Amino acid sequence: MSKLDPARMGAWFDQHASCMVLYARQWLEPDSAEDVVQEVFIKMASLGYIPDQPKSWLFAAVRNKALTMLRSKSRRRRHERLRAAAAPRWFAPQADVRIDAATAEAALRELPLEQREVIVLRIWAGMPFREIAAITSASISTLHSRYQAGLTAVRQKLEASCRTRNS
Amino acid sequence: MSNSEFLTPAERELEAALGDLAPAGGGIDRDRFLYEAGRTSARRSLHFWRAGTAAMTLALLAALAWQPRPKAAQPVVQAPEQTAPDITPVMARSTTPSPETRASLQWDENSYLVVQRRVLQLGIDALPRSQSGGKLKPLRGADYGDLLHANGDRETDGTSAHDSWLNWRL
Repeated sequence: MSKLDPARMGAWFDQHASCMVLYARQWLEPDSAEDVVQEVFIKMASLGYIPDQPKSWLFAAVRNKALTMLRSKSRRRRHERLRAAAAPRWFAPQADVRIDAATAEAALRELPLEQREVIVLRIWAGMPFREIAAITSASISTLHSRYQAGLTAVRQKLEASCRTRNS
Repeated sequence: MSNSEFLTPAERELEAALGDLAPAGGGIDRDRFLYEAGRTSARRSLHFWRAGTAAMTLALLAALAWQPRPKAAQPVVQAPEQTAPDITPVMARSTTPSPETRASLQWDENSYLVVQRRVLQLGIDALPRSQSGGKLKPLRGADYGDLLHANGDRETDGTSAHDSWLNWRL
């Protein structure tokens, strides 16, 4: 294991931080999600060495920390749900995309958490299913099923949204 | 089949369209993160040195506390004290008689040892003169016995006794 240097940490931060926040927001609200990501990076810096698979390590740490924080904040969940209405969106608004960011976020929010998690890790983190399986402790065939089911559900919701807007 | 080969073309198209969306990222400050990471790393290094110093201090204290103390009664120390008195008095007795012993000895002026020592020190003139005007009396058997007896430890040596007799005759 090689030694961790600030330049490499900065590069990883630029590359993965926003996606990690998106991943953490599958369980947490924006402020907590950002805190988790910050803590995970600081935890990696305190290791003093580079893990074998840094990207998988980062996302697995985010998942563990988010779930721990979710359990400890279960009493305040109702309050946070109310705050979520005014929270920043999951995706940055862009003009040259085929799907509206807010519509995609709404469609994803309605998915079961297991399907949503696989979609976020696969599409925005760019992970192969093998690494996703290591993080989520699920088999690859299960992940394939969840992924496919999630995409089908999102497509149906997007089509329904388009029909509503057109009519 | 670890990637998206199992998807239909429509699902792949949707996957690509979703991939165009960029995560918002939130409000994490990069500079703040790097500062915090550096501070954590420095704190970790400080903890390492503190722990090392504390461990060495504890080891030193433990070494001082467990230092073996000298035992009070060791046979190695006492052995020379017991053997010394047995040797030195014997040596003293055999080599140097005490002044009291010397004073108590009564030597006959005409004994062989006294005469021999005197002759060795002063020469032939130290021999005692006979009472018969310079003529020596012939030795009798008793005189010869006395001479042998005065010769001490050389009594059994026949040659030495004969030499002493000749010296006496001279």
